[in-house]
Amino acid sequence: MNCILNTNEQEELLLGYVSAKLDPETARTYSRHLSSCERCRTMVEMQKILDESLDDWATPTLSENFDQKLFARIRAEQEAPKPWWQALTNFNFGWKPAIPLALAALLLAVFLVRGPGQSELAQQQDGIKADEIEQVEKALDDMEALHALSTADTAPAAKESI
Amino acid sequence: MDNVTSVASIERDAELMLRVRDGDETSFALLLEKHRNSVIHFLYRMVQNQAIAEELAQEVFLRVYRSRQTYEPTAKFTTWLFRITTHLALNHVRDRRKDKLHDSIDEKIEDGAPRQLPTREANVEERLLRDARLGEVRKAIEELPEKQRGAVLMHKYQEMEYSQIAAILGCSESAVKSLLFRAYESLRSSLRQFSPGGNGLKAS
Ligand SMILES: [Zn+2]
Repeated sequence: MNCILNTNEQEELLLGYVSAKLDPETARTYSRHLSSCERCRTMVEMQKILDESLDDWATPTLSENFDQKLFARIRAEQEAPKPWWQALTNFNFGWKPAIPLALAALLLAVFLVRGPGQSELAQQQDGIKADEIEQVEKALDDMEALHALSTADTAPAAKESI
Repeated sequence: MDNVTSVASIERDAELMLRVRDGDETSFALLLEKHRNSVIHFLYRMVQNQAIAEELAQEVFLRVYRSRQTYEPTAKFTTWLFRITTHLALNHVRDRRKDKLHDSIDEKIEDGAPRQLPTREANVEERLLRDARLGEVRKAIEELPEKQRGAVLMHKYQEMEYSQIAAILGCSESAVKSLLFRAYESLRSSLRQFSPGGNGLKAS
């Protein structure tokens, strides 16, 4: 017998049924359908096997120093001098339009200082943020490596301190 | 400022995040404690490599911390968190895929996961069978297009609704359904050889 359900209905009912998320009425109707539809029955069987297999998939134990490493990075970031654009946006204007205005003024200043003929300026405006982030992150990685070396013995304590 | 979302009505996680915004680091530690595992487990299953998963997870929580100043509880916290997480994971998978065009595919899936079988001692045969099944599924998951992969993992292990996955992936609910349906279909067919009937379905 051909299945009366279209593909999407089949899949939606199937997933709901196997994870027991169908409302009781829909579940009953679907059960009745299963008793007469081999195709859907096979799909349910296979979905159950799949579900079981996915349940078997355990994850490895987290590295012990995960938090410590993260907090070290955060601390390093806090201690690192802030890039100019961050300092600017952190400055709390009550009046938001001031930020783009200030930015425009700053860019104009940069332009004036560096003089005309800077064809790469436009390109820099886009790239500057990404570049700075990358630089900061590189610096952080180095600092973190140093930090990891110097605090290797005090690992458990570090987590508590935050 | 008119508080449309009053602090009382927003969820606990968002409240914690707002405290992080105000400089409270204990709240950040609480958020990390609560969500660390789900983020890492998701990433691990996305990339199937523990070291990479942990590195990406570091990046996720760093970004959470960095975004504290601009954080607004407009979405559920886990939706926001998983938007960051999937963004990084999908990028990583895409980059890897590009690299793989040049490398050979010899580099095998890391086999680091200790498998948890039911404690009641399953007999050896069943163990082997389940191992083999899981092996097939993992391989099939690794072969799924990255969005399908993300959708399936969020649906199965995070038990997220279609609507939340849609909000995370930035697509419609029906798009999520079709991602999921296609993904599950591929995964089921990777297990054809284990079908209980085992009849004639094997070859195709
Ligand atoms: Zn049917």
